[in-house]
Amino acid sequence: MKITASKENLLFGVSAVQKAVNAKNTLPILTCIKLEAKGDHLSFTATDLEVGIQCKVPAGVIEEGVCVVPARYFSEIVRKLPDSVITLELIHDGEIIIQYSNSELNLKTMPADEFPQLPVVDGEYKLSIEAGKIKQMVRQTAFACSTDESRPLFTGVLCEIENNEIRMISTDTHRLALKKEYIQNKQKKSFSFIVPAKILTEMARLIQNDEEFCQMNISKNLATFVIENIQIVCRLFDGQFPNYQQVIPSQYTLKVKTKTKLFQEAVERISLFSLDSSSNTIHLKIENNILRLFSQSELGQGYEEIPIAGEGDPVDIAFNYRYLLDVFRVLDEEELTIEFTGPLSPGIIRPVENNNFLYLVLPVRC
Amino acid sequence: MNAFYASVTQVLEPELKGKPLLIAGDPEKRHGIILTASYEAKKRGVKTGMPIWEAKMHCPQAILRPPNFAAFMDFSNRVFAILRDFSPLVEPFSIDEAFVELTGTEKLWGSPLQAAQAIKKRIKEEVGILCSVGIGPSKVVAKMAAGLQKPDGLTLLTEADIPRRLWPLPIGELFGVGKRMEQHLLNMGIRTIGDLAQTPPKLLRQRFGVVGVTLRELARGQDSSPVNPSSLDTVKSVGHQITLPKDYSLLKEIKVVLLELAEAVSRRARLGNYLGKTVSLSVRGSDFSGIHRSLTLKEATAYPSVIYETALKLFQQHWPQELPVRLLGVSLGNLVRAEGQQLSLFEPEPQLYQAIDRIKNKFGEKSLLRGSFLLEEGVFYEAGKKQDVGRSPHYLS
Repeated sequence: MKITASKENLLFGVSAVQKAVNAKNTLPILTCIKLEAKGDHLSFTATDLEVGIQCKVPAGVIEEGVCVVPARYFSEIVRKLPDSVITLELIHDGEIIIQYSNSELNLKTMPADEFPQLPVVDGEYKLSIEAGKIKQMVRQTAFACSTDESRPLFTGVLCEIENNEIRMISTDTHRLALKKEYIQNKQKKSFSFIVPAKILTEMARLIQNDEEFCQMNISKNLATFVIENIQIVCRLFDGQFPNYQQVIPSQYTLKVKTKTKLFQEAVERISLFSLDSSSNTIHLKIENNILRLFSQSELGQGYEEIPIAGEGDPVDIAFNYRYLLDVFRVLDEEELTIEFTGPLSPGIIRPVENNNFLYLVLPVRC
Repeated sequence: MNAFYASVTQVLEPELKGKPLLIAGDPEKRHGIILTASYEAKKRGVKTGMPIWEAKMHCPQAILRPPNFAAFMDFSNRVFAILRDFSPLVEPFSIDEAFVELTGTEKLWGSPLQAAQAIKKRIKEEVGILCSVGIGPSKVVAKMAAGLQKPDGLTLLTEADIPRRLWPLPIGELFGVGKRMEQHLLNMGIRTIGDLAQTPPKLLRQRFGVVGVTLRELARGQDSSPVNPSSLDTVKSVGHQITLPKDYSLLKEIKVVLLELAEAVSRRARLGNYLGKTVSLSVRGSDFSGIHRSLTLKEATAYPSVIYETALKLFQQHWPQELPVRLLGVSLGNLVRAEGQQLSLFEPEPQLYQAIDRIKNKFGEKSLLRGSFLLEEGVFYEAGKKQDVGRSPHYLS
């Protein structure tokens, strides 16, 4: 194998596959990146057997071939290379020579035939979505997932496709985010699958161009996502996602409308008094078109009033303020509504100008 | 209070006064253990914890009575009310023991000795039972002093009396030293309270850690803990245990009882508005061997499913399969207030039990039972006829 490539392209390839390398893996081959020169490009592949990422970058291929390099050293080297044309050459005794200007580095490689093949997914369901859309969907849902590995299902995002609608749902059982979008879909049959949230987040990060399309290929337990030159293969969660529709109240006893920024800033200020307590509780009291936020701790207390437009019964409720702050980070609309059905029932936050997103948050007992 | 359960029963049934009286559970259900013996029976060698048949051997003419817990509670409350007339700082320690802080009441009641005499007089006249009072510079000394003279005792110990009065006592008599600790200390050659008081603290720290040093301080009469009138207000755990009517060896039978216990424990936790994080299981075998194991959960609960599953897991992990079981107990500890708890989605139990609790509050504990509790092996609700299974853990305060 012998190629020439720019530092920029090498760095792009290395960082694209980085997330699939587990430096602590007990199998040494899985701590490596596979480089393959073919045609007019160099491809980078990494996998931890749960997820595999492959990225192709343009390169001048002088001699086609494959080699496997330790990810940690190789990516460090690439990061520190000067901005010039780099030559990579595999020499016969299992070493790769990295040449730049008048210098060269030699790095030991691993046997290429030991590197696992990424599975080829030929699933029942194929789908194509604008990359920008999927990026936004992931941004507005993945944050609400659980990180508790003892209940793996909740560390994943449920994707449902029905006619021309795709929905992503995530929950950690204390709050739930739901986002829908409209897509071109030729498949009559509706289907759903659960993808690990961290893989979706990584995919969203790797999207360079929102105009591109993300090609999905879903089988029973595997999925591939292809965006431009990047391909991600991952395992899907096996299991039944609980019936989320059942927990979203269809009615409310109070609905209020307020400015997102106003509400967000009030929560940020008042929650300062909850920082130290374990429950992170902030109280909300709504009456006569006034939303009163209140919190207290050993350090002090504070309250703030913001005007709202509301209709319905007064409510006195408490939330974990972190769950409120989380949703402000992904809301782009200027105004939002909150629906309540009592102090022990979930509050539902929706942007006013957009009915494709909802965020449900369960209260804290007060 | 002296022979409290027996004394109360004698007040309620004056014809029993002066006669050997035994308060014991129902031998049919194998609760036939002496809870309290009157002093007349004690003189003939009956001790608390003896089986009825053994007590009868010592004292064949003894009269048996079942415990009347409601009356005991009422008498206890009346005694504590008298104590509160003497000082606002009264710390109930058990149903028949309490600490009273008399510092600062000298102008009102005279010396502690005079106050103690007044207390004894009022309890005797108004409630009708005798008690032993100990006076000391700390809680531990007062408690030990009260034990020196029974019944109807009054003992005052000053700092200077400790070496003469307390140090010659065997080490097992020291407050805070249980059976096991006693054995450990005996093995170290520490036979009396005085021996412990004179052991270098470094040695005790090495052997027992902080507990060792604290015990040595207690042996020297040093106890800095204040009389805390609200020590019982914070409930530490809720639990239930039951002696089975016959030994159970089938897992199928044991499962029913564990579910009953989990159901009762969770109900009591909910009544007190608590959630608990630690599930403990106690098992005693037919040979009186016993284990006590506990497991701490990730999230606090007040519902039977997790409590039952955890108790069952502990049972299967720690109890030898073939050993017949005589007693089972489940408790929920590490309690936190339900207020401030984050609610969760996809958990059917909170809503379900909200409804169940409402029904039980209105129609009684046995208005709604799981089918399996009615099986022959179900015991708890049968035994619960006499005991209030659903009492809030607040009932002591």
